[in-house]
Amino acid sequence: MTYIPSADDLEVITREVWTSFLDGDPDGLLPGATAAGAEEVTGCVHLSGAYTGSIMLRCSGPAARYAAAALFSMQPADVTQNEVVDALGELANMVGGNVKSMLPGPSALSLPSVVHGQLAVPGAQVVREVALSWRGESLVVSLWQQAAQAA
Amino acid sequence: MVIDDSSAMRLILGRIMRGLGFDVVEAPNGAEAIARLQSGAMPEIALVDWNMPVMDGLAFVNAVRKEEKWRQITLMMVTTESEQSQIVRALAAGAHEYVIKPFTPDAIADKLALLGVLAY
Amino acid sequence: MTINLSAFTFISDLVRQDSAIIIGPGKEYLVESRLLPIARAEGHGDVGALIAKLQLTPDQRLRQRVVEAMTTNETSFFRDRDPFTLLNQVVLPELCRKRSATHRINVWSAACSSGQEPYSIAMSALDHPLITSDWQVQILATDISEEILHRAEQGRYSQLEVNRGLPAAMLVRHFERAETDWRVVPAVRNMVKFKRLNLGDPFDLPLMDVIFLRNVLIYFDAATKADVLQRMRRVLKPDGFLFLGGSETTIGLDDGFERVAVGNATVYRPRGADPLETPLPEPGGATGLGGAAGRVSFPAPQPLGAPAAAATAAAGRTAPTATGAGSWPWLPPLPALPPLTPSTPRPAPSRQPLN
Repeated sequence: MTYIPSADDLEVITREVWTSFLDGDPDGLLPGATAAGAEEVTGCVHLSGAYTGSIMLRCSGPAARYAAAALFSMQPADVTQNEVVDALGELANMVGGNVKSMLPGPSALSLPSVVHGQLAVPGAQVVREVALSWRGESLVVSLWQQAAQAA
Repeated sequence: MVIDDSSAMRLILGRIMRGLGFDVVEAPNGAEAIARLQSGAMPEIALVDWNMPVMDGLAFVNAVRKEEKWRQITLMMVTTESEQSQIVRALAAGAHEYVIKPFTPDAIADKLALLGVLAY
Repeated sequence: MTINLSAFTFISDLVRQDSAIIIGPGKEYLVESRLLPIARAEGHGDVGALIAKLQLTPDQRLRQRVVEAMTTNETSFFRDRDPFTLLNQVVLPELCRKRSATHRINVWSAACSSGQEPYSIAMSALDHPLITSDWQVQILATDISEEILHRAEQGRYSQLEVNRGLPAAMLVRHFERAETDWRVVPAVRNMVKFKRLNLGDPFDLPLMDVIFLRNVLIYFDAATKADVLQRMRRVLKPDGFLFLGGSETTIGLDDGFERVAVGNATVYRPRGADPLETPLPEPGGATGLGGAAGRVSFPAPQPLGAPAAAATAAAGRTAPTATGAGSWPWLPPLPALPPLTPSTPRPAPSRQPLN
């Protein structure tokens, strides 16, 4: 049975991304679910090859705006759709790329996509998920796998 | 030259490089970066993302390495691709150095110092 | 850049006054990155504003936080680089000449902390062209803390830690992935023996060829420093080498050492040691990968179908010569590329418009 990253692994990776770019405070990201706010945003990357699936970062609207503000060194109030898309896409790229390196390889990493709300991929299931909270806002990181592949 | 499809990442890397004393030119993918080089840009160093539309970072590295006139350009990949095999591929294609995302400003400065691009 | 020269000077003076640690010019980025979290926590827009505040109103608590942030003993692989350049270009070649009878080199990393220093020494030895498989390099790594020694023994480092100071070619050659971390391979791990040791206690150790005593003397008072250095000299072979931290010196503490300087790098030898046979490299020469401008020209890239050739082409930057003059770090061929499966088409990139 090949190693699939654990929920802890997803958290470690997310934490490394967050402390490098968003939050000098390593305790800023806390484990545990927060009620999903309105206006959720999801950033997603797909993997294809030895592992076929996706990695998604789903967060509340405010969290997406805080993240964009931090990455672009702007005030959250000044953040536009463009910054949110770019920021969440790059965060999904960074988390996804690091998760990919722990999965059976080689697999290709897609360019990121960002949507309002939740994303589902036909034929794929969530195999790992970790719920975090950042500044009181929800952040859920999930790893999906295409059902066609045996676990 | 900072080559990345994410404008946030171009902003972050640009700021780090300007802080280290460099002038910065940006490109959102490998093809536009090549176009810049062809119209005369000659950066001391290019920070190159891997996964980009049109022309990815590995293809960019290969393209630069083929040209005698661009031999002087130091190439450093800055990417989320972090498998050992990917790093080996990039170095074998001619990248001088490799930074895994996420990174800190210290990490970029360290690598530049290793390359002799920074005085210290 | 948000901090100007006067702000930087203010901080480096402050740090020097409170901790004796020198932050030289060129480290503005370090001040920026270390103080930014404090600036934010104090409600300032940027580091410049924080420094301006500190200049205006003396705030002991804030001052202390700033000094601590600037002087946190952040260890990293190949820390400060220059000592390792000297190790590769002078010390190891010299010992290879002088120890040809025994083919054995003993190194002591005397404040090894989480292990990056001894493992850096091990990697340097493994990659050095003069240290062939018939040589035995033994590295003793000691520290006063059991806990940190235990960590060092694991040889596991996070992605963020291996991004620091470690050439990518060495990362792929000497480390393997371990979940989210990277771990030193057995060849590196087996060169290092970890042991708890308090530098204040007597050293019951075999004679050493090289001692690394970096950034630990600063924690001692002058009398203890002198005592430690004197006892170090007694476990160091008469033609051995001592490395101290960047801002440290034996001068004024122990007369028994003489200083050998090459550019920014310094190493100490017992006074009266036989003169070095290895020529010293030009100061201001290669601390990077060779070449006058620190840049090298690459041979034409090999197609990926010829992995060994491609690896050598990329790695053979400047051929290391027997005297050790040339590039740092040594870059023997990269590991062979794994076979590539035929590329699978990527899903079409889709930046979904937000409605």
